[in-house]
Amino acid sequence: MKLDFSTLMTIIIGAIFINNFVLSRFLGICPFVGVSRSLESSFGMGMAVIFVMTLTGFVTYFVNLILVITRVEYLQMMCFIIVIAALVQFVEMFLQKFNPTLYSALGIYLPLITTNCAVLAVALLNVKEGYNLIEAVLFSFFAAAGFALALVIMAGIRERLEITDVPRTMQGVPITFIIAAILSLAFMGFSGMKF
Amino acid sequence: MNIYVKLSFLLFLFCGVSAGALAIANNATYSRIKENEEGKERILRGQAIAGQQQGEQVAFDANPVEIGGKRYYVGRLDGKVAGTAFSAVTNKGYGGPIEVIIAMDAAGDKIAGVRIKSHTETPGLGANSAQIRYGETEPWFLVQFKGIRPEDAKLKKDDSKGAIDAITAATITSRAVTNVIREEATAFQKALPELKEKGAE
Amino acid sequence: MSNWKEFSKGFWAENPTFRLVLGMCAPLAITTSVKNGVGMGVSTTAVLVASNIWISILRNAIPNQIRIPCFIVVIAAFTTIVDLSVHAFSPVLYDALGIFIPLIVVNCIILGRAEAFASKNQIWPSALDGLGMGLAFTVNLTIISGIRELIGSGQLLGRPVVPPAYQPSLVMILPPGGFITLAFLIAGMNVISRRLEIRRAAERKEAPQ
Repeated sequence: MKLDFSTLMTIIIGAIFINNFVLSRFLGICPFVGVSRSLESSFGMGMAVIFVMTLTGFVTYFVNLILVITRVEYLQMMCFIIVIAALVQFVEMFLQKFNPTLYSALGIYLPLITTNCAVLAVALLNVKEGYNLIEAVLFSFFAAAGFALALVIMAGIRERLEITDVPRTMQGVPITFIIAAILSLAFMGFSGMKF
Repeated sequence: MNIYVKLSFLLFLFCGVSAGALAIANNATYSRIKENEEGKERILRGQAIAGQQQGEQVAFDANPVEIGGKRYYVGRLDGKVAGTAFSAVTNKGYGGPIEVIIAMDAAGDKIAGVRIKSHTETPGLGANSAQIRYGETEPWFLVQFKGIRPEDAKLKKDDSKGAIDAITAATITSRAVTNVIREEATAFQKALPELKEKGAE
Repeated sequence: MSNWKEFSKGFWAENPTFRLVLGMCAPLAITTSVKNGVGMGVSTTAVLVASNIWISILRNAIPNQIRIPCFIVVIAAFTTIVDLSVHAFSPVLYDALGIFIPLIVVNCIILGRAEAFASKNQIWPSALDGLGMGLAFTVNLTIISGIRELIGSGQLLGRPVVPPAYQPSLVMILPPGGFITLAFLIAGMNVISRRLEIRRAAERKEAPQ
């Protein structure tokens, strides 16, 4: 396994900032709009996504290996989605049994993750980019961290927004998207960074 | 317990049937997809050698000539050698690696054409390097390389002897593409004698 | 009449993008040109109609406890078929849409329609429901991508349609433009529907007197 520091840094910075999952690749918009109302819940969701996405990146790497060896790559999407659904279910049961505190913190967000397209996307992108195991896990972790970052920033802004005077037409989703646009512009400043 | 067995059996059956359907769909499309994927690069090489219109008519020798780990594809038009195409990658782009296909003319001393195979440049800026303007037949940035000597492949703003106009507001992309073309085309000329010896007459 | 209702509700009352704010990834990500928008819309419609029909046929055979996994398997199968077909017959579109074709599988609209409608209704209404929702989604994508392509690159379907003096504002085809377009479209939809409601309320007040 070839490990080159600058490649790894490019993957990490790219995943969090340059190609931020929410603000530049538009993945996981539904939870981004839905769960970003309060700082606390967005933090919980962010942690749950980081946890599940890193696990997904790790597991789907091996699932893909098996698919490639048995030459049934066309089952890739179906296997990935089943693996993700099963993984979420498993994580939920595991946490419930062995770490009730964490479960009560993350519990309600876990089922929502199955339909979070960012999770499936990270599995597909790992394959598409041809990442090896370490790169895949790093990419999954930091892409999820980028998602959590965007979510937390958004929630922080929306909490302030509660006490501001937004025109009635723009209240709710529209103003959220306008803020997302400005955040996205800010994140575009990261592109072109080199190591 | 019985109900779980039944449920898992049903789910298993469901997955099995779906997988079967997918196997059929895969069989029906497999050869076409493969042909498309292989055709894509072949057509790009052809376009680099002979331009957008005649790209598909360029025939390539069955096996590329390999020198020092690099593959050179000799393309022929109507039986005559029309040029040699090879690919190169640069990491100096703005959004990530840019893969270019460079073609040299039959004599091997001038650039016949260039095509961009893949890039992740900003839409509307760096991505314009592969753009074909409406009503035109050739990509306007890349066509500047046609028929120039490798050493002239420099941006006008970098070198007064350069022949290439950069894309507005996308100097990093333009410089990356231009530099990789100059370096690789110069390297090609060093490999030329061996290529002539090994490859086509 | 009721069939027409199933078909048409997606366009206004239950418009997935502007009203329910569901399945937002694709409308934002691939709407940089009309061609991509329509291609994505048609692919999604195909998956939606096919999965609605199959789930409606199988609705009595699927036990309630495992219905969600079964739905996902059906949707994933059809998505893969669409993915393979687009790859085989329209490689240019396939390159442009990238991973967003496989991501149709997690588009909330499709699972939502399967769960809310197809698993409870006959085949014909389910097919109409899928077709209506799918076409509404396609129309939404076309509107968004039309606006973005026109302002962002001064073109429609790859043809220049504005005078050359117009300087395209690039931001519209970059990621922020997607958010801005969608924000104003949703806001516009809110204004119109509120006006309609006020008018309807006024009519109701006048009617009994």
